[in-house]
Amino acid sequence: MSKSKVGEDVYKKVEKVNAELFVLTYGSIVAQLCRDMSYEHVNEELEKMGYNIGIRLIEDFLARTEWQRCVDFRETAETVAKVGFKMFLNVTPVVTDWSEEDKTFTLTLDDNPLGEFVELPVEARSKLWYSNILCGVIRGTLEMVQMDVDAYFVHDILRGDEHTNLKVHLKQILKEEIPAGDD
Amino acid sequence: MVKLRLVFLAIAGPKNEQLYLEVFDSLEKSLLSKYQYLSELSLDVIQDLVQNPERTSNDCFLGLLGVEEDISTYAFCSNTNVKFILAVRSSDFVVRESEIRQLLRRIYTIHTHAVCNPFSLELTPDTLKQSLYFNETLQQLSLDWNNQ
Repeated sequence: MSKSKVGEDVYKKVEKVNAELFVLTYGSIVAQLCRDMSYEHVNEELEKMGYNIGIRLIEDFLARTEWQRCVDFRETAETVAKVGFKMFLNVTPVVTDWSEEDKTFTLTLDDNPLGEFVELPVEARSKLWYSNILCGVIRGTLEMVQMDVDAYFVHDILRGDEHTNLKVHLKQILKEEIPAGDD
Repeated sequence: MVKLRLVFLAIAGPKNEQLYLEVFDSLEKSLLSKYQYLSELSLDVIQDLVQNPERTSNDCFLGLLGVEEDISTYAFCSNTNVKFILAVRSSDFVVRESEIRQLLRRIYTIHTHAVCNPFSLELTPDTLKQSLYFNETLQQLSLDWNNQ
């Protein structure tokens, strides 16, 4: 069964929440954080929040899709894009720009649902990555399946670039830790 | 040069404070105070209309408010008491009310879109002026309408 088909099927079955409510809630979180701290700190906070979401989200994902272990990092990328993003945000980013050793790829989001209605203030344009929570989510979910990755934005339409691009870089595969006491 | 049909757009908040006044024809900037006066007049008319105990319809579109020289003003009042006043030049052209109704509706929609920006806190006179989205879309709307 193709990944897109799985993504669509699961998306049809999950409970939906009003998109505007979600987007406005996320917007007020980011706006409040921007009032409380500097833009660099906001980026870090969003990433941490995303990480906390990600480590729990993976359970939800695995429960709904019953996905088996991916064969290689390429398959992981396709799964994240076509099944993961589709299920939770109803968008399908495109996986592009693979590095030579298949360790880095880029996700291009054609329309970022989080950024609806948003206009960044002028000072934020060079410092804030508005959807940084997504980077944290990716890092958290992949860490729970034994992949240590770095996820970061490189372009954002809200900043004036042409596309929204997120780079994911695999640092290492984490070995499964055997609990102490087992032989 | 063909005179632009749309003269100005004024937006007033719940307490009748002026939030936005845009004169569409850049050559008429000197008439700004005249248009401000016109929009204040219209606000009074709206107040009368809205508070009129005999008012039957609860339609948001308030229709033609009045005609002054060759400018007719139309108004739209949202449920949150944000008022949109649109002035069109009515001497040379026939203006259909349904078109104005549609145009005011669309202005209301882009206004809502601009206000939903999480980085705009209160509705001050600056909010709408600073919103790039609002300004650009309004320009586009008025150009399309004028070219009809």
